[in-house]
Amino acid sequence: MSRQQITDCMTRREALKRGLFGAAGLTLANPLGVRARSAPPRTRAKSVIQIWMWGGPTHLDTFDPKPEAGDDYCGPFKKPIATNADGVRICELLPLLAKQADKYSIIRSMTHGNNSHETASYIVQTGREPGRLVYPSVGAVVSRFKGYDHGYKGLVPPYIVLTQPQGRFSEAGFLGQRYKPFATGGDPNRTPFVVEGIVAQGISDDRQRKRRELLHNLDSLGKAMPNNPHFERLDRSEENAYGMMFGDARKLFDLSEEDGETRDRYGRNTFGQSCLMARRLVEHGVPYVTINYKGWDTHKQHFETMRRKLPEMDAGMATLLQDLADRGLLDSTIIWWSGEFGRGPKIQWNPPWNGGRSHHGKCFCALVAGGGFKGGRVVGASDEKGMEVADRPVYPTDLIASMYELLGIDPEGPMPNPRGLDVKVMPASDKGGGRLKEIV
Amino acid sequence: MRRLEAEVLVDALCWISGTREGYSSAIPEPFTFIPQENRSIELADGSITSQFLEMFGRPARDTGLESERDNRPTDAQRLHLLNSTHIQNKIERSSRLNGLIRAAKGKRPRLINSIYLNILSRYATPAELSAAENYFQTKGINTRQATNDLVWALINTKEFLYRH
Repeated sequence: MSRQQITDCMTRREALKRGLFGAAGLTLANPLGVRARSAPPRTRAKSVIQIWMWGGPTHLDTFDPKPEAGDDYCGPFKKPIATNADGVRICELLPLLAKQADKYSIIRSMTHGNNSHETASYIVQTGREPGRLVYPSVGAVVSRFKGYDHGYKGLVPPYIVLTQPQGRFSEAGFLGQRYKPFATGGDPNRTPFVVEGIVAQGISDDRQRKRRELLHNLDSLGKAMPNNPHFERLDRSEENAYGMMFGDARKLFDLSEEDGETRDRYGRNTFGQSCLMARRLVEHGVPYVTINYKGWDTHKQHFETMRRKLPEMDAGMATLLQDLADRGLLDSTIIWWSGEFGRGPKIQWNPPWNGGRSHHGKCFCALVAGGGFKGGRVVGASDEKGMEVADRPVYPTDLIASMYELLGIDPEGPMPNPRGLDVKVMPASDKGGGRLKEIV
Repeated sequence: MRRLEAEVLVDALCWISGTREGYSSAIPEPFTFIPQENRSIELADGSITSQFLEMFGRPARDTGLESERDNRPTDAQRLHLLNSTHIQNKIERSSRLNGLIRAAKGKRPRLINSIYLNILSRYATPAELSAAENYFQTKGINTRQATNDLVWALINTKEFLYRH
């Protein structure tokens, strides 16, 4: 081609500006080849709040009570309560959630069969069995498809973890560090909520500004090499960083902007305030927030721990659901409650457990709400003891693919990645009952 | 022009501050808690890691390929170096810095130069020396704070982060 012909052709940059790639269904990863797909399904969900029950929450003592199975299985919680959804009952320690049952649906037949923490966390959050590649989790995929690459212009990164990250098996996988979550650290129940990198304790704004000036004055190498692309990138990052530090990002994380009565309703504990923080983030437009809720690995002291934690979980979650509904956000926000597995239905009374529950990956519970999921329903069923799936098994792949559909991410589409791998967003699923059509 | 690798960077920061990172391994043999004297570059296993190392591109060694290491800069890295409690604590608790302050015996140019030597392995230029001296005279910032901020500024310069 002659030089003139080359400049006459529309450059890729122009095509991007005109949005042609997106409209024709082409992706950056494969600009020439892919046949245009049919229009993406109607999407309602814009954000996801993932409540990650770290350690594996008991399914019998939460959303799948089995008082008829006897003391050895149900333990002291023998009187499950009715909810405002017909025929659905949950543990008696969750009265506030019982009043919100019209908003969520319970999946009682989650299964993957794995009882190891890391492997099961990986399977539940990626929908894939472990293999040679480390796949990205739901958060990283949503960040890839709804984050900076797709016009996200929020003040804070698009994938946020409150407050401690889980580590590599539940994160960005081969997508690389650009899609890792931003973990806030700190504790939203404390004042101030020290968000790593954005709120620094003990350094005044004035000192921040002055030392930034010092940094610029001492940047001899940078001044000596003004057009270096590495350094330009570093400068842009610095601009963005200070934008977050001094701008409205700081206000976003400032929970004292909420009135005390609201904060009380969510619960003055880390989980409750994290739920409130998640609502604020979603209101701002953050596509994915994970609340890593620790302490559910109750091999010992199970029932004491449940008496302590279930009311906390109840208040936080129920208030979150009500608050999102009140603000008109529930329709566009998926809430996904799950852990890596459930806990053994048969209580281990013998030492050293003395009343604990083991890991149970064969059959456990998950909860979904909002974003296009219907509420007030139950999907699947476990057997009379909660040991095995009795009806309609749901594999993590099915649940995740259903969420992607609601978010407008094509589960059968290609997964763009920096390593040039030819992989799809979700694997084909031939096990189980398929996607959650009953509640979409 | 190459950015320092994650392990090298954290080791340099630990050396400058006289602090250590605490690593732990899920595999109890040979160590559950990696001995403090071991440097990060010596970490034997991809799964023994920290938030800092992952953020700065250390590979998890899933594939064993060199290309798995990602030294590209991200906003999160810049934010971390500029304002995280992790780095701020290292500076504020730095035993080495205490030693340098004592050794300078109150002479500011000497202190500034010894900090430059420790971090950038060179003396400060006259322009840099005067900029730093000016900073020490800022109202509302005491000597120790100004010293901390000088260290903070130098570890955030391109010269420190990039091998040239």
